[in-house]
Amino acid sequence: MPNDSVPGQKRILRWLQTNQGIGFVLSLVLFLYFIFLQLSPWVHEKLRDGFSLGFFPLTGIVLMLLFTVTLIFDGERNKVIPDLTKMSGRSFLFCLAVLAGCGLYFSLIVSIGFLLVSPFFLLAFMYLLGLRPFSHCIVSGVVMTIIVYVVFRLIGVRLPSGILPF
Amino acid sequence: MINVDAILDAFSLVLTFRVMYWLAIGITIGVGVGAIPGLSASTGIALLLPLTFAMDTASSLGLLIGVYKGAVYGGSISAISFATPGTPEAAATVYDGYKMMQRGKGKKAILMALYASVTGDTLSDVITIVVAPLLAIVALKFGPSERFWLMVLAVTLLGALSGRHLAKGMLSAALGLFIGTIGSDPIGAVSRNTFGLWWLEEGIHLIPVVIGIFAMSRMLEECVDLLKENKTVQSAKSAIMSAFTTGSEGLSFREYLSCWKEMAIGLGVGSFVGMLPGLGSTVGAFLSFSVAKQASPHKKIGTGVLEGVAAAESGNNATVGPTLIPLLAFGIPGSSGAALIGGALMLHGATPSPMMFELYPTVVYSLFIILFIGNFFNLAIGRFFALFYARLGQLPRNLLIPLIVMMAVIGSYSFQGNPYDVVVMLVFGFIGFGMRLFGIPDAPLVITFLIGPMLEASLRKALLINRGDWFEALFKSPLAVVLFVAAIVLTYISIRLQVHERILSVSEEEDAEQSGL
Repeated sequence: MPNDSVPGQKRILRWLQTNQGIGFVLSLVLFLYFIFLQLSPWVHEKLRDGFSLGFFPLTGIVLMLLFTVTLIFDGERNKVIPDLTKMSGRSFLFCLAVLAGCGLYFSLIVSIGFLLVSPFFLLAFMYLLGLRPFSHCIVSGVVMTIIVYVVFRLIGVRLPSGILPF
Repeated sequence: MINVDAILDAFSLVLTFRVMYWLAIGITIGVGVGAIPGLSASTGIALLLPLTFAMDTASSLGLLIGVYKGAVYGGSISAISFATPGTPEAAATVYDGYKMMQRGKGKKAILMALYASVTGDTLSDVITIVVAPLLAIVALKFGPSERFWLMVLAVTLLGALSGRHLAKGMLSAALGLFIGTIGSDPIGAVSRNTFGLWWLEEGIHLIPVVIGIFAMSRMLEECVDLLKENKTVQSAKSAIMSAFTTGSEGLSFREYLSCWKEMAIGLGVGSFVGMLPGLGSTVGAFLSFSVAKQASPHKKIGTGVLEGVAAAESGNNATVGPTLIPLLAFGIPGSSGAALIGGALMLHGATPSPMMFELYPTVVYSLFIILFIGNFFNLAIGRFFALFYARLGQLPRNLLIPLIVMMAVIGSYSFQGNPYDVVVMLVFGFIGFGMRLFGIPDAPLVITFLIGPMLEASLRKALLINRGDWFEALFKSPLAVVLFVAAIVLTYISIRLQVHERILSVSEEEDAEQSGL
């Protein structure tokens, strides 16, 4: 399909999947963060050896900015990042849901206990990822939880017990 | 320089049932991690790192080095069995190994992979044991200026060599430097760059970072793959079973010896590549394969011959020991695996630095002994359980991902019982996932995160010594100037060599040949 017939929105989306697009977005974010740091009072505090407290964090930001700007202009700027084109909104949301699920799982094991929460976390996760039949999810969830618990206890690492005495 | 008492102490520390037990466990887990596609040595070590907190130093080194050695070999099992390399470093083994499997010579190929891995690994460990102390003597002569330039050299090489795109490699290294500044400054201990969060005042610990980058991000990627195409390893049970039946053809000693030239190439190339920061075992395997193919065109490497398997496997395992040389001699890890082992040493109070041999000789010699003995365990476990590992490589992803995600959550929490470590791990899981999506290599981030504070401290010490004169601090000593010039020249050469482009072309050529067959 010729480039002209690609609607504007799609063209922008395609550009954002190139090294140049990524470089541009990252440069913008880093530039804004650089300004934010410059406006933070702690950055300009002087240390005993003459350095300002923000010298090294700012150096890190400047170096990152330098390389993201390089992405905008170097020889591979128009190259489309293959993995990015394959990434759908659904997959991205799923990743965020996994991270949120991990956060929830962790807060529950602290309050209720590792042994009580983990089988449910595992079986739900396995089921969501397509493991069938459901009985396999239940058995695997319980067995894996027990194995991990025993291994950690043998090594001497304590796991959150929650409402259980052990 | 050789401390006989420390060597004897190291032997008495290592040659105990406890350490041997953990070494055997490490290799057993490592070969499994390597055999399962999607997991790598870094994932395995990162997940087990928090557990080592409760162990003594020698046992933890046994466990982690076992995982490292086992995983680098283990990748070949699934590469040969069903043409899916368990780890990226085993990708070059597919070309000859899988063709041999198709011809009913799978057992021969797997045994060759094992023996070549162990041969390359053992001999490169000898090189490590000889070279590391010699370089440590040189490192002792370094002052803060020289150390600063050495770290700059390592960081630029890492950035330049770690991925196909220079700017992305350097971006990853710069991000690592920035993250290393979170917490408090290394000289005055004043808090900085904490985003206003009190729990970041003590800085970010290595463990949640590495679990996030090497385990969580990879599992997110696996989740996406699974959702996209419901990817499962194609069943190859019958082929694997037939390859391991007692009637199938094994490997004779004569056949093993006939590949001496390819194993020697693997040893030389792998050891050299291992010593350089940023290249790693995947490059070691592909370069060895490519050099062996050019050195002996009559052997038709790439068409399903033992020599191809020997070159690739000897090449990748020969990087394992030498990758620890920069860590032990200069305190600078050359790869993500070395960074993780450096992290384990830090957990036990033996922070890697140019003074390692002076301050912690027993730990260094223990590590050498474990490196060497580990090869025999690798040989035994690989020899007797190859079929089990080939079957393990077919474990469904949807069973494995939840287990690893659970391990990542409890591992990042359990080592110091800090709930914020889980938050850090999840954030770095997301950052790592984004980096993989954008094609940004993760190793430079972790390594520069580890050495960033040392780099800053060296620069500031050099300035203090020279009363704030930047030119004097940076270029007063001739050695500092040499290192500065080396940083520029080596980075330029490494960019011009386009190592990753060459490897990609080797891979594409082989793929084209394979599809043409």
